Amino acid sequence: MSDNEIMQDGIDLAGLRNQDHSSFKTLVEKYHPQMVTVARAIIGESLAEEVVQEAWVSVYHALPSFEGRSSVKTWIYTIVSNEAKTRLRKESRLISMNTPEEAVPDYLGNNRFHDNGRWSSPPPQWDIESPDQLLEQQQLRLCIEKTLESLVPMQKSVFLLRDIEQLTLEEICNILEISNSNVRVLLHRARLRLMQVIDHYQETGLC
Amino acid sequence: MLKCKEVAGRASDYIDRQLGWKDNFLMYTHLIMCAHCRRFVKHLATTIGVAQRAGRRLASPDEVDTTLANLQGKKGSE
Repeated sequence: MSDNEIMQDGIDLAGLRNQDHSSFKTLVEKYHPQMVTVARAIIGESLAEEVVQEAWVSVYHALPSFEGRSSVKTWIYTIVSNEAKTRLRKESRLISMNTPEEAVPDYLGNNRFHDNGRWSSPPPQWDIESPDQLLEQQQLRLCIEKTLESLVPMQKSVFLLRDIEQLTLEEICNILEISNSNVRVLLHRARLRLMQVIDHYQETGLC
Repeated sequence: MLKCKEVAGRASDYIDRQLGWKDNFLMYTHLIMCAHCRRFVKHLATTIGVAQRAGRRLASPDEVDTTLANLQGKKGSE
């Protein structure tokens, strides 16, 4: 058995398949917040936690039959996505998914460029360029965490699944049932929002 | 020849290697010549690196306990 079949992302796969309590608890610790993010993007804030609890029950019962054709995380995100979509179909008349976009100035708004498409307000020089050094700034770290929490649900979900969980675009399209081009637009917007925060911090030392 | 606004709009696709060879080449040639856009793409890549390191949150003890208790309750009722 290869190492990949024994441990994956710090989780004991054999233990999981045996529904071992410790292995399942590790799985919940690692992925619960991310599952809520995905559920929220599909079904909205008020039902997300409930749907995730139902998904965990489904995950637990399906563990003995997990074949490993996809990664564990892709598998559980697919389960929570299916639970959310099923619930959405049942309650779509009652759920409003009109989450308003936060009123944040667009990083690439028209005042950044001249009419000829060249920068009128180019990106400022950063004093700190390395990700690790940036994260040593505790205040900036808090700014970034706060900004990630405030992203609109679908942006946050795409960003989480792509940049943090490293799922493929195809996997994300299937989980969230949105097009490839939509995933890429949402991802770019989320990244620009974070870049805006780092820009501001580099210039002012503040969030 | 791409404009800076177009380069900025496609920067994520460029970093993620999602562009076709022609668009990729157009981006590459613009970035050779434009220091502002080079800085923009570099900052975007750094932002991705920062968020990847900072973005993951583990479940709180309460969240774990609630989930395990809910599962136990469902198992008990079967």
